Amino acid sequence: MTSNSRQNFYYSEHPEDLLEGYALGALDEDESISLEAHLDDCFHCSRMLVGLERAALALAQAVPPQAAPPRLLSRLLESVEAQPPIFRPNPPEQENREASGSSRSSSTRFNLSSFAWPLAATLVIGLLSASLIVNLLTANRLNTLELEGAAADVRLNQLERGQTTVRARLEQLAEGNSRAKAALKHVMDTNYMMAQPSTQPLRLQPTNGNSNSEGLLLVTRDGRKAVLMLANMEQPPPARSYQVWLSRNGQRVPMGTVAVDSAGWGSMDLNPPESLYGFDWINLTVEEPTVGASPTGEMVLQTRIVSPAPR
Amino acid sequence: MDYRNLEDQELIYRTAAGEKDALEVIYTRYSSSVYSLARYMLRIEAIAEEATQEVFLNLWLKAASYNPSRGEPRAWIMSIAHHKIIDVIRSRRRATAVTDPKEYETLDLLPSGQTPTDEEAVRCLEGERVRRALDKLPLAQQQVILLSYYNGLSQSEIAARLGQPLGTVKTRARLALQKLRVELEQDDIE
Repeated sequence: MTSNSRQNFYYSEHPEDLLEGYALGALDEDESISLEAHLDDCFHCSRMLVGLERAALALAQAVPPQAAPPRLLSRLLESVEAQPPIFRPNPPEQENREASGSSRSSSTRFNLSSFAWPLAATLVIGLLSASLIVNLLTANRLNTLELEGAAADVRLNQLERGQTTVRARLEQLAEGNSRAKAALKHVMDTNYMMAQPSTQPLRLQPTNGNSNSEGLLLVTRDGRKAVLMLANMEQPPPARSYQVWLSRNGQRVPMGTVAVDSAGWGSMDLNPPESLYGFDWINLTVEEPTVGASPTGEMVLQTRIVSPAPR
Repeated sequence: MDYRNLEDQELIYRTAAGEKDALEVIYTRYSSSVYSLARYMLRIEAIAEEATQEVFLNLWLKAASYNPSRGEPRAWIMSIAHHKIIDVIRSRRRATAVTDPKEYETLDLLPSGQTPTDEEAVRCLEGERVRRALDKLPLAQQQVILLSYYNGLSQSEIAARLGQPLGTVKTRARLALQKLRVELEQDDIE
């Protein structure tokens, strides 16, 4: 749907890990084109996508409603006038009409002579009886097959739902494992920095005098790495988070978000694009989930960045 | 024939057969949904209008490619619309490096304060329902949904922006949409 040019690309297995990204419109263009080519031929993936696109549809319908300007319809109809659809199959009714019309005209041309009528009638009755028996047998068999097919469909749906649940659980475990590893590495890095005599500590002060919140920034001597630790922080309001910024001469660089736990404690690694001592301030603000190029939320903590005294 | 009484699927078949009246009824049913999404994501009225027109022109040209096994007509039409709008966002982003902070401001899913029509009232309720379901997701997963679905960022662009590995972003997108689906389905049952 993203491009007119489709590639003939086939996956060796079902590319199920791309389906959510596709439903969210978050695939890169080449991934999207390849997946669409696969979906044209793969019933399994198409079925899985149906449920995900239903969730995506809810997102589409959640935006504030606005009526389309009336002029749009006339513009559309003008464009349509100039371009016929790519395919023009006859709708079923029309096909039927054409089919019955042609049979009527041929029947008017066909003129049976009087001696052939009894023979024709006998043949027709014989054929009708035979076809009635065959139809009855076929209908019975079709009913049985349809029932079996429906039962198989139900079972398949159950299996697919079970499989999705297990996969989601495994992914949650993998994500938890990866978070635990990252947390352990963070603790080791922090301990190492604290043990280094050359590490420079900077204390972040609350901008609101009544707040008990505080922050401590440990910076390596060359300023290329730092650890920010927060204490006594309040939980940010719903759907907001604490965002760290570095600033210099009015220019601000977002450094990522830091989460705080129920005890008000939070911590994160900082890997600034250049030495941290090249910046004037470090600030912590409360921001919406989508962070812009500059802070828009309330500032909570800040400190001026002071270079370490020469040894 | 009164096309207004026809089901969506029949209208799509008739559009594929070149019946303009069928397209007009589809337009009447879906133009508000498509335009609202375009206006919300693209923010500029003229560009949203152009994108909306292209969505319906696409439907006219490619209606024959509709396959009922790929989902109900409403989901199919809105999926075409969403992908088209994302194409516009990405081509604009490629053409001009976007630096305007408004481009990334928080997404307000709550309805506007105007007096709603019946259809708008239903959609306001839908907005509330989705907002509740989104609120139940972890913040990191909400962020991925908002950045991808409404801001048109690809997973690799989100990874670069958040400074997270691409695999983490993909996992969050998967979990987020699956949970959102479950939340909305449970809400339907209740």
